[in-house]
Amino acid sequence: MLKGENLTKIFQRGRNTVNALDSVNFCIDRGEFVCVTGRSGCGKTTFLNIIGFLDTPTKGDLYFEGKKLSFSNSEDMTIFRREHVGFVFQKIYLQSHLNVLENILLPLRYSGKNYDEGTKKANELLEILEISNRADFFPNELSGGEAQRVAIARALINSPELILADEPTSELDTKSSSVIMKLLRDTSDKYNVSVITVTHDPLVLPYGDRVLYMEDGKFVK
Amino acid sequence: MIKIIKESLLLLSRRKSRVIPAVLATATGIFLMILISSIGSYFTELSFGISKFFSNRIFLCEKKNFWIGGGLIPEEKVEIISKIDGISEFVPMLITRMSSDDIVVVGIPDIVIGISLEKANIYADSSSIFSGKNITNKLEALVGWDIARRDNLNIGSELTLKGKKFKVSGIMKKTSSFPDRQVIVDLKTLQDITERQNLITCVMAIPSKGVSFEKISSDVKSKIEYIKSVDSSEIEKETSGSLAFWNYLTLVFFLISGIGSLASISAVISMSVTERKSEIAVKRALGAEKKHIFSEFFSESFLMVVFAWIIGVSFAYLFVFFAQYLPQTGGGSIFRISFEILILSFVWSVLVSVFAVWIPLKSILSENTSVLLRG
Repeated sequence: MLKGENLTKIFQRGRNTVNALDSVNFCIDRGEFVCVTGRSGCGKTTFLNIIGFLDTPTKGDLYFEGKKLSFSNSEDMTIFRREHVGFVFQKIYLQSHLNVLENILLPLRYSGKNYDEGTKKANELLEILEISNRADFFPNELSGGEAQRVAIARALINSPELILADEPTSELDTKSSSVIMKLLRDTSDKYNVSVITVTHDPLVLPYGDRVLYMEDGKFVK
Repeated sequence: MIKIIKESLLLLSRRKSRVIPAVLATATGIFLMILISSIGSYFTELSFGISKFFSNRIFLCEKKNFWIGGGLIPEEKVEIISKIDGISEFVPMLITRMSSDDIVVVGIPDIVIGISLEKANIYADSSSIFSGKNITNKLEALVGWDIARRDNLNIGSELTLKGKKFKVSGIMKKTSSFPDRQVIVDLKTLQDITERQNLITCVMAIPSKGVSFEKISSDVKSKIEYIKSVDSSEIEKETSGSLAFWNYLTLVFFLISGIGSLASISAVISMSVTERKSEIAVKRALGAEKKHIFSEFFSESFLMVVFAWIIGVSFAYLFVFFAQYLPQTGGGSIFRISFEILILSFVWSVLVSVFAVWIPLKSILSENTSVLLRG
């Protein structure tokens, strides 16, 4: 479903040139759950940003469902993200002035999809994620685990084929972490969604079908 | 559109702890802009009104003292003036200030004019009277527009001048010049109460058809050496220094108000954009196109400016209302909040807010979404 060829990202940090990604090749199947791990600064987040169309590679190609993607137009990248990718961020990033239901529905505001159907789906997701009693709560009234569940629901609302999770458990305690990972795994299985999660946490790795180890901008095993 | 505005209103109400100070700061800028512009508007209106008032009349006054309450002329000298060729009508007048002389007045002072009952219609004919009629007896007063409004005078109201009671017979139309701030009473009565029996301040003359002001002026100059004529050009000469000063000051006021409001509105609105960088980043990551972000921010800032404008205008009107009761203003007001000022202040505020949103937002949106997310 998603294939990368020679993806490279080079940038300047002060006087130094950094090879954040060094000719990375990979292939992710539909419904596959992949964990990407490695030391800090090895290029995991850069990899995630590029395959999520949040950043552009210095060189290399990315294919989605066999079609080569173009990084030349930021608006096209945005539309692609909106239609095919769901994000779960490390810092969660819920909008503080929107309640839980509105946060989940946020991507629909920009996609022009039917809001009533979206609301129905959001309520289903709230049920599945066991936070239906928090629908009209604001983010500052939620625990870390609850907020991350809202973020997962938000990532799923547009029915994406791909979910990208950047350290989804790093701000959670062990118990909440395992709940979140189990939810991600279950939603991947239930909706046949591919999940790529970047993590430091060794407890997350068993949830993946596959683990990719990254070192100095390359996958080493 | 209505949907976007409704959503924006809801979101603004949820962020009121940040929105209210921003709206109040913007309102302060708008308030000052309106107030300062209104001073400029007053002087523009005044200068226009003076030119209009003097367009068809000439005043013959004691040479050394032009302004009211200055030199006095014995009443018998009027006969010499009346014999000058080319004058169709003449009106002897005694002019005095309504208030005590030690009050410094900004703008036109309130004055009382004594005119003989039979000449009153020449100075103020029926077309210049808004309601009621001219004075027809010794204890009646014809009141200027501003004084009537300020002192809440109507036809039949009682008015005390220099300790004497008068009954309001009529109210003059608004002229934006001297007549708005004057009360006309009988000449003899005013001479008695001011102890200036048989004395006048000036003679208002209306030239015959086809006779120029210049001819009358030169005739007056050659026949009566201590009298000088004052027409619109003379007024311009007499007041040019102070009017030029006020014009410069008005220009400075307009510039200050424009730049001040530009600075305050743009600073507040820009800040409300830049402090939401991470919100913008998340929305971009979730699929918001640039047009979505622009429309959200434009509609929110537009609503903020509308609220700020309403508050700013309301406070400006309140300020002007209370300012007219300050004794230092002589009971009048140097603020004219015209319709044009209201429209211009609104358009200016909206334009400033559009740029204040557009410039930082354009810069934020030009950045890579991943860079924005890192903050």
